[in-house]
Amino acid sequence: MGRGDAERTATVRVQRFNPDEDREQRMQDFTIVLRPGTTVLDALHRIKTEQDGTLTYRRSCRHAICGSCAMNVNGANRLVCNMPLREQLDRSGTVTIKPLPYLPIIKDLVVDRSTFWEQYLRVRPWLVPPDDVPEKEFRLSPAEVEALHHAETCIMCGACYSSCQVIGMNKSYVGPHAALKAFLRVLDPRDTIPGDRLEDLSGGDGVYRCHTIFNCIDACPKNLNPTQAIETLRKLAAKREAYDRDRRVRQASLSEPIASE
Amino acid sequence: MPRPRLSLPRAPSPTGRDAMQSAESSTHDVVIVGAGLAGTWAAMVAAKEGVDDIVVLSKIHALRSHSSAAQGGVAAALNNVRPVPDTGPRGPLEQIPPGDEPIDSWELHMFDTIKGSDWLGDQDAIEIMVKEAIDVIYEYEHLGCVFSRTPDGRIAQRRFGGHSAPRANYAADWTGHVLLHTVHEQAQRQGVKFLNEWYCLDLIVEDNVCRGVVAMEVLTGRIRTLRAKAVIFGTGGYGRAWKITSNAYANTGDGVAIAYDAGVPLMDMEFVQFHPTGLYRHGILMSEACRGEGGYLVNSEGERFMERYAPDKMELAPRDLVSRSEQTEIDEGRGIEEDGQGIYLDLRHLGAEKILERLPQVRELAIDFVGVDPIDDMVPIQPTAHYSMGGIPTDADGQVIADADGTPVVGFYAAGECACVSVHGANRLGTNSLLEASVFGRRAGHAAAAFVKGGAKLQPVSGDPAESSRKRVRSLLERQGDENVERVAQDLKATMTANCGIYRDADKLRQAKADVAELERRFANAPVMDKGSRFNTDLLAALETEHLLSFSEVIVEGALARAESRGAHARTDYPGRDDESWLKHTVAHKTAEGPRLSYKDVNIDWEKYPPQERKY
Amino acid sequence: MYTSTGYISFLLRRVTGVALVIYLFMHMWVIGSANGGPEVFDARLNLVQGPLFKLGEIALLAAVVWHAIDGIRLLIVHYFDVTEYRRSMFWAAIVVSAILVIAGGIPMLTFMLEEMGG
Repeated sequence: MGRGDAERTATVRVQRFNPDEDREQRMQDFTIVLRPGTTVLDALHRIKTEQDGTLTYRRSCRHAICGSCAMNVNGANRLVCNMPLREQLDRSGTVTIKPLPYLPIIKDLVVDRSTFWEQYLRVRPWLVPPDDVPEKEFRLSPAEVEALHHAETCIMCGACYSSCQVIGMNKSYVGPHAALKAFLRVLDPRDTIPGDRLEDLSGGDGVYRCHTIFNCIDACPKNLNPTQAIETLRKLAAKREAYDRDRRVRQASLSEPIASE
Repeated sequence: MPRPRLSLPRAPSPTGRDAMQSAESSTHDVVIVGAGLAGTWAAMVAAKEGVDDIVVLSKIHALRSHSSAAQGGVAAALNNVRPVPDTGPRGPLEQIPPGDEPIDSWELHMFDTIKGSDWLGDQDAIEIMVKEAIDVIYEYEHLGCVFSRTPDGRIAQRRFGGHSAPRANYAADWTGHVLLHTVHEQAQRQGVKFLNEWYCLDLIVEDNVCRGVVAMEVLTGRIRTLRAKAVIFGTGGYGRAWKITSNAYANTGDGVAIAYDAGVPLMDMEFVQFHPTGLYRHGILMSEACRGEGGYLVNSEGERFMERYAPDKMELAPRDLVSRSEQTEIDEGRGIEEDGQGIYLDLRHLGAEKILERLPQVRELAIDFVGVDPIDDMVPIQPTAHYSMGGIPTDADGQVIADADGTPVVGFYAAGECACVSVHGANRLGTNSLLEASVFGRRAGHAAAAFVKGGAKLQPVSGDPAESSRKRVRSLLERQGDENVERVAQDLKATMTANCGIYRDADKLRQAKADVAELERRFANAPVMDKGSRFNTDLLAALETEHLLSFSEVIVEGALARAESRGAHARTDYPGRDDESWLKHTVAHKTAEGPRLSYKDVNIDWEKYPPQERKY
Repeated sequence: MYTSTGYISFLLRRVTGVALVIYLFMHMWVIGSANGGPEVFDARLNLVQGPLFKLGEIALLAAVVWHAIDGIRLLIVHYFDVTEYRRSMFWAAIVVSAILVIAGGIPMLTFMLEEMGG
């Protein structure tokens, strides 16, 4: 066994907990051989199929678009499917994987996201368009769409939500994911109820509960910025009636071509 | 900080036997299996039309459905964009000034689709799809989709393979994601009930009447019967039967296999599309939009080899043609990477600005998975199993049929990739799948709603329909043996890739057939390691592998019988298209001796769109 | 995650905020005794002259300075799009606060030591 072999295995330390069988959470070490291009998800898959079929986690697309596989790796929340295993190993060649924090554990790395989805529905994530729709599309300028593009790419993975200490203290807090979704709808010129939404969001457990801890920005695998969305919502909420009026003005010309410079 | 525990009723014994015994059942108006675009549209439409009790089952959370992985765009002849005059077929695009001549039409879209399908597509269904396309895109936009825009605010469009006009309506390169989230949100608004992480095990069909489904609540392992007046399947495709695939882990063709086991036939299963640009070794999709925006395919000699295979359309020829061209280059020794199985995708000449604006996701995928920035370097890609043209046969309203004569399976509908209408025939054009799922999801929802509101009754079921599913799960949990489920699955993928892939011949297919039979025997000795009832994904993997084996048999059988090359089905021993003998759909029924094949006519308008030679 | 600059700043904000509220009540308790006349006031004031309280006053300075400087940082975050600089802004707040606390603390410490010596 030469020096090359010592570099070729990795220790994957996973938190295990099955409420039906275990009294406590425990860490379990697995050893796998490192192959080029192995992601952390690949490692979990190999462990599950070759060593211990009871190791349980969520995954689907394996290319960072479905949002299933958010977990806590080496203390930080992220998706495991696009994370090269090599880069996650500490000096002893170990990567530590735990489930997303603050959420009840269903089994091993699978957590109960009920409150996450409740907050998502609470902000009414659907657009509320005007009643009379044009024959063709509403006209939005490229600049208006640009402002929405980032929030639009949120895959609802939960990394931000479960990295937020406000959530840790208060499960009724709206959460960065729902705030970002609300931001998307509030800013969309086609939405008819921005004032209503802003009113909702400025209530108890709304966007004023954010303590600008910024963990959400660090955790987001899509480099989105829920904090900035929340700050923007706060500013807009302070002048929501004016914003609502401006929206109605904008909506009067939603079917008209955008004038070019 | 002490972690809050999920308070569940304590699940019984570790072997899970008792959990499975619960004889619970529920009744509904409509049960929809699959929460991708097709299933969600169906649910939303049915809810809007006044159906009360609708449940959507999904084995993963609805927003994780693979519809969200689609990237490049959704096709409709909106006529927002045209090539800048006098810049050639690969020049820049500009918005069409108001009042100027349109360059596109549903008729052109229809012809492109028919030609793309190598004349196996049913033309009446295609006509419906391309006509409704225009309305469906505008509806998406009205419902809140954030599409990319032209300067004057219209939905932006790009070129795509096999389409003679730029009609791929796009949202950067995450179009599917945007569409799925929008319809899911709107379905929530309509009060549709989603049962997430419920795995459908069985379809209850007796005397050609569908009576409901049997499903397992993954969280607890409990198996229940859900009786329904109508059932709609939107369960997606089956790319996971091959080694290199763009498909998610979840795409194991469960709906297709379950329907087949329940006596419903499958149609055109041998037609499987290999997408030309999956990331090398991973298979992860690099959207066709890369080529739509002007990217090149280059072999190990630095040659833009598509010149030799499709001199007119080049990289924008339809996918089956491009994949075959790549495979030929690879087979003849001009592939890249150590094993020679790759091809280069060159986007450098598009420039950083365009790549960052139009192809941001694709760029990140290349960086994250193969360590290459497309702005600076060529990206290694290879053909990847991508789309299943075959599936559960339906008419243009999503009504499932029981045979080549079109006898309906009453109360059973299907839409999206799991269905075969057939609008894609032997090969699908890019951006037509998002379209198909949307149009036929809507139509199936409407048809099911009309059926229910027209007085459909809950049909009786004989005995306990869940019993066979419980037996099946029990036997999986109790079996012993020295085989390994994953190894069986990997061996299946290996044989399907080698013997039932892009290029096929009788010997390879017979080998595949023998291999699949052998794998089924080996699978019987593969135990499930996790014996618990709580969130048992090991059990799910075994069930999924069983389904992979089940429909792979049908694919191989259909491929072996079809002695011609058409669309994505390429036989080196029958290299030509044979309209005399083979202008028909393959229909496969399950029997004890294996799939029994019959054939169904293709709907063709012999005056307007008679079969022609397919050249690009 | 638990040691992110954002979380530490939040914790310090809470701790200093609570501490300042407690100080405020103590301060009112001492100053309010002036109602009872010079002797009562002097007696109360003497209670809080010990070396422990003198050190406490330096801690009070630190709490006030940090809470104010961090408050200014937060105002900037609220009104401008600066989340990109969140980490450097935290460290800047630490550095500015440290300078002010040292600048104010040294004379206070010197005075305290002189008093004890003399």
